[in-house]
Amino acid sequence: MTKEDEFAHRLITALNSGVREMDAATLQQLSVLRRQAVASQHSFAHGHHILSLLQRHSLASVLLVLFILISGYWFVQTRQPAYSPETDILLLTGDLPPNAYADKTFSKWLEARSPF
Amino acid sequence: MASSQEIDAFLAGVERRAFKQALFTIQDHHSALDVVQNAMLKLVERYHDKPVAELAPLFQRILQNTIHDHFRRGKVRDFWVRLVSPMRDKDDENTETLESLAAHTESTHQPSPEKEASANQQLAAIEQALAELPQRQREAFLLRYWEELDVAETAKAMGCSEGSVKTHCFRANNALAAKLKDRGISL
Repeated sequence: MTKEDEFAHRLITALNSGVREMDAATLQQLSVLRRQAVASQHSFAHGHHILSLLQRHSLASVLLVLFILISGYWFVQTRQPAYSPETDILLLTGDLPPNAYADKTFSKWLEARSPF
Repeated sequence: MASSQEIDAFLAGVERRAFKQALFTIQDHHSALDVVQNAMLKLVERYHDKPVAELAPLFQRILQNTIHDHFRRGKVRDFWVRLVSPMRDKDDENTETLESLAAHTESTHQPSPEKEASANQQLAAIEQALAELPQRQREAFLLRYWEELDVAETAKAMGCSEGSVKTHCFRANNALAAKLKDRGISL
């Protein structure tokens, strides 16, 4: 053992005596905290399984979210508006509500349906 | 995989030293308890499936990271407090600053007369000297000698090279010897 190690061990011996004489209130608090942490083991092992998986595989989580967003956007963009005879009737009688003209897909639909 | 009883026994064995480590660095009783609690919860959450033999270096790494996180959060909080502080009443601010400075000085730099007079004077001086060390030196010293991790484990827990650990330990030993000599403490 080097001189440096000997000095360190004398210090550690003194520190350990301080740890042994720690006040009762702090020891009690530490004991409560430890019991709470150990009790949480069950919930971490079961209840938060999916959450912990996502936390561990953060890259996969980000990719999954991006995939869902892009798929949703693609679905909305490519979805054909459903044909409804009622729309034809409303168009012919001029009873379309104003917000129908504000609908972005309405112009496309009108062009697609127009014989001219 | 460690059982609940094994984790409980492991934590019971390290909790006092973990608290003291946090206290030497943070210098606040409640914050040190918070740090130890967070470290315990993180260990149980992330590593309850590890064998009990692997828990010691993992817990030390978590503890050191939690202490660093505490200071990082403190810096962010101070930044916002400084931003908001011009809006506060100047008198209040001055009073508060002086009060907090006085409290800090009292808690960190001037042991109480009772403490000085007690049989724990030597221990108080050692703890004070440790608290005054630069953070990395204190971490290296405590992990290497108090937690009895080897150089490689200490380096892993601190996230640095083994050479840095040896340097930090050497400097910590020298600094502690000088500080204790100045205080008239001989071991």
